[in-house]
Amino acid sequence: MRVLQSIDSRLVTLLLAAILIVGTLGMVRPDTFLSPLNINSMLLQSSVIGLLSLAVAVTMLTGGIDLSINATANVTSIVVATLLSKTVPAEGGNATLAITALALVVGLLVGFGCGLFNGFLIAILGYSPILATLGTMTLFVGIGTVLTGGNTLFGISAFATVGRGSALGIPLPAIIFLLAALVLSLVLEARRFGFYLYLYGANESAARFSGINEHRLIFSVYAVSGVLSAVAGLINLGVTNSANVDYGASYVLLAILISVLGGISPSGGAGRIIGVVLAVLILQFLSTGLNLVFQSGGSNFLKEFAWGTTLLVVLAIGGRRYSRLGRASKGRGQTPRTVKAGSAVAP
Amino acid sequence: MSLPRNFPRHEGIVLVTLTLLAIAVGTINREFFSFFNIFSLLKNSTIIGLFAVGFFLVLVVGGLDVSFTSIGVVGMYGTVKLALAFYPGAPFVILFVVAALIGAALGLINGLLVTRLQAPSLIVTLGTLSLYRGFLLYFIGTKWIREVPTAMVEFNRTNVLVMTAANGAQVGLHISVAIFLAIVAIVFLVLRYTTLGRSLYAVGGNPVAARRMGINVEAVQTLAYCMAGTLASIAGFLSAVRLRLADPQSLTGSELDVIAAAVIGGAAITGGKGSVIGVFLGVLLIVITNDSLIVLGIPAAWQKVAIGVLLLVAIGMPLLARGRFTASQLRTGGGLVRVGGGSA
Repeated sequence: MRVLQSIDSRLVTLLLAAILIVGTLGMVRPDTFLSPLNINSMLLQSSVIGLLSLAVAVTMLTGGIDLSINATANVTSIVVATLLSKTVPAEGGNATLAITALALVVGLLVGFGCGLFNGFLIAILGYSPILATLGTMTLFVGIGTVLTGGNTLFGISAFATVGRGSALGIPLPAIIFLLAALVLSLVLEARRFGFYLYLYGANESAARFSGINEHRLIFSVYAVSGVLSAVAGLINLGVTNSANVDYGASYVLLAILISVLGGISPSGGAGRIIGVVLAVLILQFLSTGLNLVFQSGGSNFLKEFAWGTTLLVVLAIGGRRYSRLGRASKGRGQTPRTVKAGSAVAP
Repeated sequence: MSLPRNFPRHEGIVLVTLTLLAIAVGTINREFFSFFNIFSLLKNSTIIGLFAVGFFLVLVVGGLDVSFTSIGVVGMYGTVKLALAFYPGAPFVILFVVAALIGAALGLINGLLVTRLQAPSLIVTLGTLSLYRGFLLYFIGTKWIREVPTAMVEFNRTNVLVMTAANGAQVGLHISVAIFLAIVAIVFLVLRYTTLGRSLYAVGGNPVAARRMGINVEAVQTLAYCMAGTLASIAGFLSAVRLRLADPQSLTGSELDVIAAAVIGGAAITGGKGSVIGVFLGVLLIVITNDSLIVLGIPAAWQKVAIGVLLLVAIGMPLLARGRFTASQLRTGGGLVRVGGGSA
């Protein structure tokens, strides 16, 4: 896989950037930035957004996108929270192991179902991924609003052990994120599924004519994305003990930013999961760093500004690398779809 | 170009849906057809309508510009700040032009970035969305401005058409509706009868063919983003006029309604398709749906579900019309059908 090898220079860059940021912040704020408390808090915070970034990255590798990740995560936590509040007595009641396990399975199934629905729209009905997931995002947010009536469900403590717990000094959510990244990485780089996925992302027509079961691939990819989003939703439920339909509205942009920063080509076919993991950590370091340095209010807006700038700078640097993949027509349209379709027309 | 043959049909479907919805709501609530309600529906359509027309112009050239709400707030807040700092007594026309220019500049940045970076426009404009908004909120200000220039307040009192309602009350059509309708008319004429308008469709339909025809593809694309920015900024400015308040944190969150309106109106995400009339009908459909669910006895919480379903159905319509659902086409040339859609 020559495509993969060429990305390694990006991984080195990302690694250097991470070390540089940690080094600088460690020197500027040695007592706070490198304290175990801060490191743990950074790991905890990056796990939810990290899982959502993986969910976007896997769809982006096929040249698609999933904008419904955050809506899926929220609808999952809302369904689970509703289920738990119905089965567990309020205040002081503890969920039994069986109920917690049931809630976990239901949650994962909700995410799986949301993903399958996206896959159905894209693979069977031929919707463009952007529009399909934009529509399902609205739909899932709507379902979440109907279930909660727009209120926050709180006092759901069944997943608190996972959300607040840690093993070997590392927060459990971070371990789950890293495990998910590891499994996804192995599947994408060592299994046939991954090979097909990269092939499909690099050249849809070639993949189709080489006899890949296109429908199954798209269904699987969006189902994986849905399940990863559901895990993010469950972790969030565990960390905050609450579920809300508006939670993390800015995460969609952030997850796309992280994927692109991590070297996933927005037109598909190139990029590695390890890059995404590094990008998550870099953004988290930066975000915490900005908070430490600009402690006065408004640093959220500065962050928003910084995210946008970073995304554009990364696109500018990576621009040539991306365009090499979609070379066929110079005047290509801007949507990933058109790029590939254009290359299909011009042999 | 299949435009004249294909699209009246799609717009027809939207128009029929709109009429049926209006009749359904009208029979339940007689007030629906009153001047008061129709005028207020039109007034509610102007801001999302202006955004939607701008969004549609970028869709025509095959791009996606989601930064419009950011441009709207920057245009609104920037204009008010500038006016208060340098020329508080500025006449309305000057304020309007300043807002338009701010939008044009931000749109130009979008256009240049998209054409130069050669990255998907959705991702580029997601970047500028947070860049513009973050810049405004961190470097310029987060506070509401209640003392807007007097020209804005006075302009807000203007009605273009005053009707007497059944109960004798005077009902006026707000002037922002007239501005919106004028812009729709101008965009309609430009798209249909000028070389520029036809170039936009050509670039969106098939960039390679457009280039071989001698069209400067990048310039046309950049211009589309520039026009979209201008309209977005005008929309933001008019929303401040209507509220007599410049709130830099407003407008965000209305993105989906706007995108839904353009797509429901028949614009295709692959570019080269759709008409302003369709977008206008799409806007009305969204606004009436939002306003009327309660009348129809549907709880407000279902509003998003309704919009989501409407959006998903609307995306499927053109595919259905082209027979995209048949299994044989799916297997043989899905991608090709979509691109060569012009001849379908």
